[in-house]
Amino acid sequence: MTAPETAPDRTVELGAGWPGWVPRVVLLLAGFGAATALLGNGVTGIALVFIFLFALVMPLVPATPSAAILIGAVAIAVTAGPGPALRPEVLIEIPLLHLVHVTAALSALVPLNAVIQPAALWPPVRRFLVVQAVTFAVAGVSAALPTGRNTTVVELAGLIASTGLVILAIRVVVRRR
Amino acid sequence: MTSPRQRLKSWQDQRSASARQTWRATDALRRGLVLGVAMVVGGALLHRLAPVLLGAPLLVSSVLALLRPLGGRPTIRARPLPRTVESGQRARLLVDVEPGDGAELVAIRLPSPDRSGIGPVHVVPATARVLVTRMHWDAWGEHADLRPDHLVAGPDGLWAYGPVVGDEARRAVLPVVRPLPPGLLPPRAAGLVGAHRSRRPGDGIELRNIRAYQPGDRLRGVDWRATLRSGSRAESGADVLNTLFVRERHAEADADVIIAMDTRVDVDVDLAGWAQGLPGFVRPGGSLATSVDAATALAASYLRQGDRVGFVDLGRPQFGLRPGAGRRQLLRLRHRLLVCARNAGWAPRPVLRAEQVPPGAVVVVLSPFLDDAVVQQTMLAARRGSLVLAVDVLPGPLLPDPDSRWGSVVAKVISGEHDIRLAALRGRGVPVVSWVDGAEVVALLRRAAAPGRRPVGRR
Repeated sequence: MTAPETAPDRTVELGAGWPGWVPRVVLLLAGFGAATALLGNGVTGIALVFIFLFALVMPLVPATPSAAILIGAVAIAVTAGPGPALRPEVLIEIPLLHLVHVTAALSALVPLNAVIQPAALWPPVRRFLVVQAVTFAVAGVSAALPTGRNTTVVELAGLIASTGLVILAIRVVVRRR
Repeated sequence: MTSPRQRLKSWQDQRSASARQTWRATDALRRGLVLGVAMVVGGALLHRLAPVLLGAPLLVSSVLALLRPLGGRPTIRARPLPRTVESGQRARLLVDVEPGDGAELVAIRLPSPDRSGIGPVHVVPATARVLVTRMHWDAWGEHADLRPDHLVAGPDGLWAYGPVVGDEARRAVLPVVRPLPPGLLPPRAAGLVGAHRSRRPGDGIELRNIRAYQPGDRLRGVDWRATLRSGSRAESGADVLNTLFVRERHAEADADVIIAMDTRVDVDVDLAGWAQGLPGFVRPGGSLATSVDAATALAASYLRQGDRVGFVDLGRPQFGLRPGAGRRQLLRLRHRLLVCARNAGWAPRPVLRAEQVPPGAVVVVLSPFLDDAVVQQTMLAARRGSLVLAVDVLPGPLLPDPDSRWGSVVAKVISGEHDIRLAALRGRGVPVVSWVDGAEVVALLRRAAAPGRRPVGRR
């Protein structure tokens, strides 16, 4: 008995592939990179130890809030840091924190002893690159815009947009739970 | 009657199981939304660009995941394979995948060509519709070799369907057959054909005797040369004049082999593990695995030369198999060995009754001989007149339990008692051999086939 013909590109021969710990190694590197970048941001002492600790623990327990804590802590540290908004530390943290988010999401689903076909990771990689391109385009546009006090209308529009965004996020999170 | 706590647990399990059977947002999606919105809104309120730029990728990727339409129910279907396979056999497994709308990757547990068992989780793109893997079965027994647990993920792993536990497929892997060099068996003239020379006169090929013609002898059996020689002796004075001489030949007969296997214990060299549960179907390198190897090898060898082979499970007599011949008997026997190994366990009294052993049959007892009862049954079978061969399948030397201060003493006591039992068997004329590759057993049976000789076991 022969199997029905299937399009070759839709038939996947299982066997060789990347080990399941690859996303976790990327997560570890991204977390350490994000923590290391804070060294140039003036973060020292217990706060830095705390962030490095989370960067180390995160690949072991990717399905826990550790990634959220790390991203939040790094974002607060960067925001509180001195210097212009588009300084190198910020520009480095943009892809690293995004990478932490994506690899933590994938690591939470993929067991350590899994075998990953590289083609399976191509759509997330492509989306990551597109999102980063859009973000850096926004950063470029914002660098070109004049700085100074906004008009009341812009402030009000921003406030309404922010409120709408928050309400939308709450609705989505609560409804999908 | 279930307690309220158990009912609550059951309700929770059902609820979480039903939640897994639909598309659901993962914690990562909530993380992206909450952090993304918090950073963007916070940055906007504080008039700081840095948090906006840090939160924008999280928010954008989460929104993209939210905008992706997800639907359908992912289905995984493995195309069927035979329920019974040979040890060492390989097969190609095709799995049809229907991941549903909006899926991006599929994590599915499938056998791997380089590993045994149900295999690792494979992460494949959701564009795949047919997954192909190769299965191989090395260890005989009954195993679960396929359980396609799966999880289907949406964009960036922010949505998930599952994990869904797949339907387990179990397969019977027949013991491998390693034929021995065929040896002669003591014949039993139950059949008219066979490969063994009988002591009785018959229509075989081998010359038995030359004797004077008797009424009933066939004329074609007359040995004219011997007759003429006897005539010349007659001229010299003997009184055998005009007597015809006939050539008498040995009959050819088949033989019965009864393989009696002790399935009550399955032990290996590690004494510490004797009381623990089995890690698999049988202990690798243990007494039961060796017994099954020996039983299939002996059965295959003697069935191949036309003999009849029967089987007796000393622990569970209901699993016995009457003597039979041919390839089907070998297949029946291998299936029966699987059943016996699956049901193996301690029984206080081994059973080897007279009606289980045809008269004149050779009985091969495969046992580690760890108790007196099996020794008594073996002696009893020998006393009934059968040629009994005891094959010791206790692996050795035994390793004492390192965690017990009495470990080495226990090992010595067990080994000593075992040696005494084997010596008792030899003392009653039952040859005892250890199963290495079967050559010793074949040599013993060959000696036993020689007229007027009894086999002598290894001492």
